[in-house]
Amino acid sequence: MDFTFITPDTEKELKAQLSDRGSFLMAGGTDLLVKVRIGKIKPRKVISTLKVSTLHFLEDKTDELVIGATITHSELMKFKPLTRDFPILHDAIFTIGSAQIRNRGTLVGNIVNASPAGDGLLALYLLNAKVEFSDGSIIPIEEFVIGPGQTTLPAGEYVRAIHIPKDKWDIHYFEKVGQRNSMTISVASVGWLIKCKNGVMFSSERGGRTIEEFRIAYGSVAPTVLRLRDVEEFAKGKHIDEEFVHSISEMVKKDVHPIDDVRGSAEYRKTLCANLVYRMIEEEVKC
Amino acid sequence: MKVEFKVNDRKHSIEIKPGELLVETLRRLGYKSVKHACDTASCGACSVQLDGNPVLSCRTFTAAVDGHDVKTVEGFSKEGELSAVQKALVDEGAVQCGFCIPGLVVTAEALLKENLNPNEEEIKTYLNGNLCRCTGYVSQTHAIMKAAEIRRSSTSVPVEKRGESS
Ligand SMILES: Cc1cc2nc3c(=O)[nH]c(=O)nc-3n(C[C@H](O)[C@H](O)[C@H](O)COP(=O)(O)OP(=O)(O)OC[C@H]3O[C@@H](n4cnc5c(N)ncnc54)[C@H](O)[C@@H]3O)c2cc1C
Ligand code: FES
Ligand code: FES
Repeated sequence: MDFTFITPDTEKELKAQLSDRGSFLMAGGTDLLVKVRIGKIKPRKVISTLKVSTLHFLEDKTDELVIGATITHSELMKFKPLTRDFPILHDAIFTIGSAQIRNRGTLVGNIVNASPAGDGLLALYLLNAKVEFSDGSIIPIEEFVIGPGQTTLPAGEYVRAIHIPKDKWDIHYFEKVGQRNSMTISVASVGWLIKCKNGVMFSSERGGRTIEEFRIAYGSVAPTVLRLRDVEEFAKGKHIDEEFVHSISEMVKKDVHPIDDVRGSAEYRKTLCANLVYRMIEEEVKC
Repeated sequence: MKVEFKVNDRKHSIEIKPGELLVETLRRLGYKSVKHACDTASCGACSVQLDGNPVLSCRTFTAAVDGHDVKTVEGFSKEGELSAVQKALVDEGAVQCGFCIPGLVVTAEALLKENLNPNEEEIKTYLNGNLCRCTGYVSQTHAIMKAAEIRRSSTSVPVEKRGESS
């Protein structure tokens, strides 16, 4: 392991350092360090972003939340506007590893890692988040991730921040199914956001309320996190009832393409994904 | 490369390899409470506090802690006297082989700093990265609740009074 470790203070310096071949960026290092230790990547230079003060910020604007590149999961979870405006992101990152991992790991590290099991990534897919590069361009998260560990980040650039547009959702749900409760990569994960026409109702009530907008995404069941657009389209104008959930469950089964691996067979994961939508019936709030 | 950082308030200025892990450096410096156990970020035995927050020293490059404050379990017992958390762990029979305990103590101390009245669920959630292969966690959870109680009663003394007595 013969590399140099650099800690630039400014973005200008960071950019200059990045131009060398064999340079790797590191934030919390919870992903990168493993790859270096097992020899999967052989860096000539590791550049820590943690001392670049202009990357350490959280900006709560009227129409969006902007999260700087070195903000850790723990810092984000303690930020009040997150729980208020983006509870789905809070719930998702709360399941990442352990307190120790969340104290080091960053949201930007989570997206650049581009794992199909990335929990932060799944919430960001649902929220139509955008990624800001150091060259100033901003692209949708779904165009940023193209495969396991693969992104469209141009060589010599870095991710500056993540932008999440503000929007009001009546129902949010996140669940990760793993072999153990903590520390494991999920067998499958799911999240949904629902906007109801004329507000929500509780299980005991009957009413004419319907789904106005619906977003659903799965993790660990395809090369990237997957948004199920056909289900989202189908859901518009429907009620959350047995019939509806049964129909989308069938659609989910066709949409997801999990693989067989040590964590579960493809068949099991397909069934699991299809069954997870029945949580909509169990939840008290509906439309 | 050279780095400078504090461990339990003591300054260290040392030569390290860029790929050196914090757990390796700490043990080299004599802080043997920090265990290099699973080396896969799964067990929590290597937990230390970095600027007050628990992190895994087997997943932290020493190079990245340059200029920062590290705290190991040695930093919690004053002059050989056990801290409230340590005492409670002993009293509740929550220590068997003891391998997990240093990491558990530094993590529990961080929890109590954030929340001095944690319930069982909150303790389990916060400590889900600290595995123990001996005790089954019940006694450890109770010990942390007990330590919290002791600390609550000692901090509930009105501020003026504390000022007077010191
Ligand atoms: C025990 C354990 C449990 C875990 N559990 C989970 C889990 O439950 N769910 C989950 O989603 N993840 C999990 N992870 C993975 C990991 O912790 C997260 O993905 C974390 O968010 C990564 O952040 P980091 O800052 O540590 O990334 P780093 O390791 O620092 O970086 C990750 C990647 O991003 C690149 N990078 C970093 N910053 C930038 C930047 N500004 N611009 C461009 N590229 C950059 C790095 O070069 C690297 O390729 C776990 C990891 C461990 C070790
Ligand atoms: S040795 Fe670090 S988590 Fe096990
Ligand atoms: S006491 Fe033996 S591992 Fe916890």
